[in-house]
Amino acid sequence: MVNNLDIIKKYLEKHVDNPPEILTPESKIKEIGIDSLGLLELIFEIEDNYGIHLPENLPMPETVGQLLEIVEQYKPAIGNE
Amino acid sequence: MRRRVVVTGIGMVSPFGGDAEDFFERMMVGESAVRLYRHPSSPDDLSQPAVCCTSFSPELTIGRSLSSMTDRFSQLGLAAAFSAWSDAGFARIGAGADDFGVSWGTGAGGALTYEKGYLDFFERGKRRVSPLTVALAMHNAAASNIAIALGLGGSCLSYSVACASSAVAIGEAYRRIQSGESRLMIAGGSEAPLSLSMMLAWNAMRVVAEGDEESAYCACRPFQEGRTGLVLGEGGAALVLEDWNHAVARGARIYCELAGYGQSCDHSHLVRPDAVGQIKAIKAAMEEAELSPATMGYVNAHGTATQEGDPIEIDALRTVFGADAADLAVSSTKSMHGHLLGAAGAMEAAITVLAVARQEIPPTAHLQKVSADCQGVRHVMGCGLRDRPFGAAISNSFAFGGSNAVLAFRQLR
Repeated sequence: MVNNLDIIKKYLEKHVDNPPEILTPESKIKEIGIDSLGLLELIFEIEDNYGIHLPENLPMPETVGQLLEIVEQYKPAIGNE
Repeated sequence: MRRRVVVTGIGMVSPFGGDAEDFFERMMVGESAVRLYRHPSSPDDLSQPAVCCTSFSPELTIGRSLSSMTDRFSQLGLAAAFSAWSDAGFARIGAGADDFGVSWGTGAGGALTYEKGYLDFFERGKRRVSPLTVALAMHNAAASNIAIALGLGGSCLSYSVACASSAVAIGEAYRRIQSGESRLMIAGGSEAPLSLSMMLAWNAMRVVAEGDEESAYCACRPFQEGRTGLVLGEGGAALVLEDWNHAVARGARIYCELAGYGQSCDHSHLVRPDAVGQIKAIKAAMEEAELSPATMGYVNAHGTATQEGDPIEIDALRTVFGADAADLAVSSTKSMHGHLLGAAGAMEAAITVLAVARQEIPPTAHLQKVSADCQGVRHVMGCGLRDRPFGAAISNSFAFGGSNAVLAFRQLR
């Protein structure tokens, strides 16, 4: 099973110049090198990874933890992945 | 009174991998960057002679963050602009100003990004495209990214005038400095035309030069008897244009003066050029720069190596230069760097600036027998011309659609 935090770490390694060494649920998304456009792309990649489509009226997460919560809520249950 | 404008920085993404001086030295010995280019994902093994900047690494040049938010045409543009900026003596951070601007040219903009969207949709079964598509593909993405990265708060303009796009971008930047609206402009262009759809489209027009693995190197032969057409090239080039007084006050190194800009429209045919329109643009640039035919040292020709285009340009030059045409040094460097479409004008302006500054004239590579319909000027061949002092040069850009743009560069006086 792919860990959600790993998806974010991989995204940062691929797309950001100086990714933070430590990523925690409290990390603010805009402070780890992801701006509003980057966040759209990250959500897009997460959706692709799980084959889901998050509702468009979701409030934009401000922290890594909030993003992870959203993913947990909408990703398929284990066994259905 | 109009302000005078000087060139204080040159930058480019060279297909050879080095800087602008290295690129120019290679031009001087007739070294071609054209190779047989095989499209990496074409189902039909699509290949044609082309110029690809294979050694260009966006991540190493402009960084990972910027690379992941930009189409290749913007990446080439950012790299060229950064290199011109640094060449003009500015630090990457904190040297921008509110009356410095960007003037950029591109013909196809983010064509690769759109193509990726189509391929995702039709070939890979995805039923949606990346949310970055608009921001990556828009024609002004290169200009805006340059302005953001360098902190340039003046005008940020993009021109799409087919193969004259970046010559127009440089000319219009020149006008803004002349009028006093801007003290400094980064002006240039970038193009990434090696997409499946662009390669197929140009092929379909029957204007792309023929060539295989062995012959691709010399496939583009402007003015040559039996020439078979143009080769597409990707790349980017930029000039830093500056108000003369501003450049002098900060002690900038000055390459030469941009002293004239002529523009016209053939208003006759979409893809068949017309000498009358070209003559008008050449004359306008020369008159503004106060250049007589006898004082002109070099013409960097549009010279795409198509059967139709080359003789019309030579006809225009013969008409403008009259009795002086026979001794007029003319070359088309597209024989070596290919046709950069919307970035061609900027690449060739950079070469023309270096020619004036270094007093060296690059050749038309692979030109051995001048076609009967291209005679009447002094074609520069072989290893170019040195030891022939000259005060001024022009760079011609003649676009599909009939738009003509000519830039005149002059030694300082």
